Amino acid sequence: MGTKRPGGVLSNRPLHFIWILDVSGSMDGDKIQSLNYAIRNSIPAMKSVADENPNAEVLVRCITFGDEVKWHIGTAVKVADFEWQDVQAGGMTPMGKAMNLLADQLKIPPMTDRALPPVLVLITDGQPTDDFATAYQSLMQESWAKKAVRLGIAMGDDADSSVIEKFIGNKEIKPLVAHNSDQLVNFIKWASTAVVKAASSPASQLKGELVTGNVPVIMPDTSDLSQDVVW
Amino acid sequence: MWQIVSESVKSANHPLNQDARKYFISKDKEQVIIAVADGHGSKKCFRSDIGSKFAVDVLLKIFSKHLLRKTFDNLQSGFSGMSQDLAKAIHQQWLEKVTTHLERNPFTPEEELVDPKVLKNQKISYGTTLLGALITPNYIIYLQLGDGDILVVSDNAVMRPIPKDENLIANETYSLCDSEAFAFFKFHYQPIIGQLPDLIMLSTDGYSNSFPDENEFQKTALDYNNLYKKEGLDLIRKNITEWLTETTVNGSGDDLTTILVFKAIDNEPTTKREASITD
Repeated sequence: MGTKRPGGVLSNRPLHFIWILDVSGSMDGDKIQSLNYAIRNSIPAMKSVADENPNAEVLVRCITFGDEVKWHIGTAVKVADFEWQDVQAGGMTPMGKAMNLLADQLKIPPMTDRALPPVLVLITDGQPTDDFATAYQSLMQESWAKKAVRLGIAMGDDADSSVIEKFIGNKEIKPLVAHNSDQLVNFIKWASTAVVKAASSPASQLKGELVTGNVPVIMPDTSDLSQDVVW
Repeated sequence: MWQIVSESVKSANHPLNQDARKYFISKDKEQVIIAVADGHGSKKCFRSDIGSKFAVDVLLKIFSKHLLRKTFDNLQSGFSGMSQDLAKAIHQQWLEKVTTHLERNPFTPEEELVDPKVLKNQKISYGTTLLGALITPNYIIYLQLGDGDILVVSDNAVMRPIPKDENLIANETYSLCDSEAFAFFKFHYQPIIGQLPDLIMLSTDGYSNSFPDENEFQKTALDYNNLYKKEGLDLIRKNITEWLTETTVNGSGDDLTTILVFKAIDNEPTTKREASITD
């Protein structure tokens, strides 16, 4: 047996994946059922991607905004242990407060400087009923918010695309608009697999050149999806 | 007198090791130049393995020249003004090497298609960081552009001569391919008053990113120093490849390169007394 390796405990790099979900009253019914189904359905593939990238530790959390703004999953859960508990719809769309809640967790600490770029996924069917602009501005003061891969999925055409575009903040990444359950499942699977995979092993990039993190994001192919307009 | 161990291991995730390292040790083992560079390896930086080699070559050449001329031996007006000239010279000479390489090796049709920005500004494809030190009995100069780590052990305590840059997170880094790169170099000039350090350790960020925090990473330098004192250099040389491989496999998954410069202890043979340059 060789001499013990110099140095302390080894660790792969944390990759924080955070769902930011609109659970306002307008999501009630088919939309919220589809959302719960889509996230639950994406978990096995997300676990497979994480297994294929052992140098990243994918940690999942979830914010919901509706009746109240809260951490639906507040403690970062290793993807291997991640189980989805259904969310319920009701209330307004306090998206700004959700940004504030998110900002608190993207500070250093609790984040560390060695993390991989976080993946933040906003899903909404409407428009903010509080001051999103100020909260977003505050969020973007945090280094990790600026470096994060920020994605946005609209459920139906009533979602405020300008708000989602602002959240993404990258002309190369467009908001995805899901008009039915099939599209939503596909987009959520894309965010939790293809994007997680890309974020797991980013190469070094030149400072200042990045728009949103340093993860090359390739948008999903939607050509084979059902084009039914349900929402 | 100094003793040097250096090693580099490739990430299982990369087709090429994009790190480079080089060192010089004088015949009397009292003067040392070390350099480590980390080619970015992103899609745009497809020639960064070449860029990192150029970076360590340039630093060795420039520090050697200053060593010969004793430029830094008796600084009357401080180091800060000279550091700007040094940064500009390193940047300029690296750019010249890149330009010459591009003239002799134009982009292939495949390389031309990688990214329009890179086609327009081809030096981006060579992007790399650079870390280095010039070590003499009278002073040590540390230098850093971009990510990576310089640790120094003295009296069983670890310090960073150049503090970590809090702006560099999420794998963002300063780079020699930046047109203003010279402005982002950081230096530390340390006159030797009393004891020389026990260990100077340079490493690419694949090393520190393999640990959960700074304390766990800094233990590497302390452990290397203790191992050297108790077991000698041969044991480190024999095992370092395995240690670095274990570190990257169970840690960052990145290329990992380090140079360790130990202050020779009395019972450690200092091998042949010849000056040498090693890649």
